Amino acid sequence: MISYAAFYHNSTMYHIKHFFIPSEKNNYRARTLHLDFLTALLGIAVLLSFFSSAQTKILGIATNITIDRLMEKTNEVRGSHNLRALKYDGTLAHAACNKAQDMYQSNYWAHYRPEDGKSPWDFMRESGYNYEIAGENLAHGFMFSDGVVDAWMDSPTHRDNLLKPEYEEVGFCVSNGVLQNEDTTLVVQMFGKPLAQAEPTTPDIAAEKTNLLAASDQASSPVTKSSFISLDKLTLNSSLIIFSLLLIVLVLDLYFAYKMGLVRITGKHFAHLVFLGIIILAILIIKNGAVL
Amino acid sequence: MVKKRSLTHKVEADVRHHLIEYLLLLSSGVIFLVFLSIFRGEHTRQFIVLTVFIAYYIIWGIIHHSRDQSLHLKIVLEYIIIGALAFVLLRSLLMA
Repeated sequence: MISYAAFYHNSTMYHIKHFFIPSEKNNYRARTLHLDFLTALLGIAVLLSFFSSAQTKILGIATNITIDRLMEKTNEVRGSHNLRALKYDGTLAHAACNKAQDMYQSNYWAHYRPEDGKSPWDFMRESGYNYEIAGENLAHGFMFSDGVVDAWMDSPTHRDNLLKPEYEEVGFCVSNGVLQNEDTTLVVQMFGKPLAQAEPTTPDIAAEKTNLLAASDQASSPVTKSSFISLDKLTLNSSLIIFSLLLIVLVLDLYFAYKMGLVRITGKHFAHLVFLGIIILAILIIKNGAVL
Repeated sequence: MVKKRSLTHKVEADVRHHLIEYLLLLSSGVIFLVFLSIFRGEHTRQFIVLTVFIAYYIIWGIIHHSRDQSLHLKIVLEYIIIGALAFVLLRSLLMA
């Protein structure tokens, strides 16, 4: 017959405890804070970083921001304000992609081209979209579709565009390229209400998306939908988990070391806590880009 | 009988003893976050700011323990590994 103490000492809980709480078994320091365990965490981080960067280099696409999700999220926020859902319009999407390519080629981050003041409305007209009312939202440097729409909702002018009741149609372009010497993913969102006489054909959404891809320039690559597993998302979540775990372990280790009256030669827990807290805040800032 | 000080008091005493050093660490962290926000969407600049902050943290750790007369190779490695962990993960997020 096995005693409770023996059972406890052989149980998983007993082993897990040593990763969090200092005791004789872990040399009076939570196992997670031992140099070998921290080095193993660093190894995992290096592997994640390597595969994430390989995915970007090999596939050459932004796997996280997709037109489908942007469309869905835009209509979600409009729906939550009792506004009608916008229809995807291929002509607007084409204008948005022309605008994105122009921004890459002329290297500017603005609604109007600096050299000659070419406006978003010019791109719409050139693509054959005649509007009664129109608008444009821009974003770059974001990791996720939801973050883009959330950032637009946080900015009063972009929010006005997203929630304008007059708009009926929307077009998106998500395009990778080099803007101001930096690899980035540019998101162009164009809204419009077409002129009544200017809608002889209602293009099929799927067909328009195919045309959009076929017409893409080599300087940038539009992204509609990705079927790849997003390693960026995995890296982001893993980072948050690792740093949160270290925070918890540091607090537990500090508390139990105090309770046990331990005197140890270690780094300063308070300094590590401050550093890790700042790094977690930094991750939350980094995942969002800029809107215009 | 000597009354045992609470954990909060113990940490507070350490912070008070090295007040300027901790203030330097905290303020540099705040400055780091402000710069990250200013350079929103500019990943190269954010990466430079990140590198500077992590290097500062490691140097801070070494100087702090040296002044505290508790500097040990294991401690230096601890700061370096925690800093490297932050560097590798944030770099992969910025350079993706």
